[in-house]
Amino acid sequence: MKPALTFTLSPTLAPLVPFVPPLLVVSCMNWAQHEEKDGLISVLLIGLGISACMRVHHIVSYPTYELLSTLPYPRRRGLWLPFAATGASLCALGALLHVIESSGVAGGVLRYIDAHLGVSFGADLTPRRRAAMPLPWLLGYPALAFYGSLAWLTRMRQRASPARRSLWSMELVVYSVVAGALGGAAQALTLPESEVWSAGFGGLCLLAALPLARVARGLLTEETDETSPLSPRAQGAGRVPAAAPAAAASSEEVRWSS
Amino acid sequence: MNAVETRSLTKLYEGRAVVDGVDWTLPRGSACAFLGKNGAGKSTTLRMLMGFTRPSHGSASVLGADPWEHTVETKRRIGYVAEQPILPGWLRVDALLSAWSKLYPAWDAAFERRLREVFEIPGKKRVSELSKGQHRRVMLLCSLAQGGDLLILDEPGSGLDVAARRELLSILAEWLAGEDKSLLFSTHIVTDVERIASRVAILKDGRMVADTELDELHDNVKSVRMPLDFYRATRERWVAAGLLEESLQAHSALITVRHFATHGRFVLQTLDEGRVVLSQGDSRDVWLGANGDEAHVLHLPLEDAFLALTGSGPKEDV
Repeated sequence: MKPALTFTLSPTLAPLVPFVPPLLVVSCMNWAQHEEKDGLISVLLIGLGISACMRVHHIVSYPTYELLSTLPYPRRRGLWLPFAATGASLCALGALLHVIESSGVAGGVLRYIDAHLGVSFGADLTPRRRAAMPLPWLLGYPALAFYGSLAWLTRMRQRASPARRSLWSMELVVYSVVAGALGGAAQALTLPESEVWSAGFGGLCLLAALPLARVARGLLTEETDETSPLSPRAQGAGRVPAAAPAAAASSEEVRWSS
Repeated sequence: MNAVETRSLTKLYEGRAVVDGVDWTLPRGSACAFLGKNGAGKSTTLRMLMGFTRPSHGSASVLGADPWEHTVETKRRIGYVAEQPILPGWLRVDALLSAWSKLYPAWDAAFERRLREVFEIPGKKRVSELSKGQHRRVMLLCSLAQGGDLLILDEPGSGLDVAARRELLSILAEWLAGEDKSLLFSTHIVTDVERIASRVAILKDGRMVADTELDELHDNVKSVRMPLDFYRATRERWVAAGLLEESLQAHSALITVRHFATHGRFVLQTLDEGRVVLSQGDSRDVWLGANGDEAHVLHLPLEDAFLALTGSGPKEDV
């Protein structure tokens, strides 16, 4: 019997996975394009981004969905308020960081650390390099990707079996790798002219990556679908136990309720 | 009004029915165990009853309303313990219980205090620092103290040690003694069922194969060992009695049927005017025919009855 393919990603970590590849790709692009100090800042911001994503992930994870559905809140408000609040928080955080960075406060803080602690975080940022900073990518792009995926995932949850849900993790890995690569390329093309162009390209790349991910999903699903003749469940289904030949004859639903 | 009522409740995943046309009723004031092998559809059914996911077909009514449309007031009357830890990890337990008590106007503070002692709840710890068993106890405390009318528990004994499970069962029994309290719980621990449940519902491959009072289940699902010749002569009647398992040996047959009380015993009466000659307590009855043939009716423990009903394998010997 040929075993069906299985993917065993931790249900807790799996939704985080999509964020890692694009962040790494973008980071590497920055690292390669600029001197190491900028790369270090990129890595720090990546940490911040991942941390924010983990918080978001917790809020939109299935256990929280169950909890919120259970608590005595009206359904819509109970479910969507945290999502909206998280989205707003992320945007606010992004905006705040952007302001800090553009105003030169970040440079000042970094220079202070450099002078007093002897640790260089790349305080000598020029405006051109600041434009190359991956802020829109680290905060805007993951948020876009996340919320873009969220509606999709929510829909999937309604109709996907637990086995298939582990597939979406795989699907999103493919999705995010492709999106990350395209996004990185787009950033490389548009730098350093405009962050707006860069972000715009990123959005387009996300959209472009979606059909590719669906194709990948189709390929993966073919092997893992439980309805596939290859799946153990399907092979076992319909067999009548040798020692119970009559079981099938009496398989009608039985009710003894008095 | 029933506590739970489903009509042709069906859930499809990728076109495959994981819950398949379940018609089922949980009368108010009942304690029902939801049994089934892994993947039988228990958790999916509970999720539909809780309104986490919508049925593909059919409908469900919990406390008289569609779970998807439950109002805040109805939600307050339903306590739920999930299979997985779902409480927010960043809250301290004291703060969590304080918040919960404000969400539920009927919160029973005295019961909460008592459960805190019984379950040894560490109030100062953050939820994320709790062990799985402790987390489950906190969830149970929340659902029990909220003052609801219906408890839906998904594997409540999972993660609890034997002593804690016993405590939980006695607490649940106490809770059930209240007016019109209903309990629905899924479990794999059959001994828990016999301690607390009055009814049993068994799912197999998404279909409900049994929905009965526990006593009726014991009366009906029986194994019978009889002479092979007699079995061959009466096999059709055993099939009509709901033959579940069949094991043929050199001179005897060992079978399990699902309708012994209503069908099977009448087949045994044809054993040359067979009659019960010996009843050995709870374990078996011996039926004796005129020509010396013997048939032994074996009273199955719930676990064996469950395995027979869910087709988990033939019984080789007893």
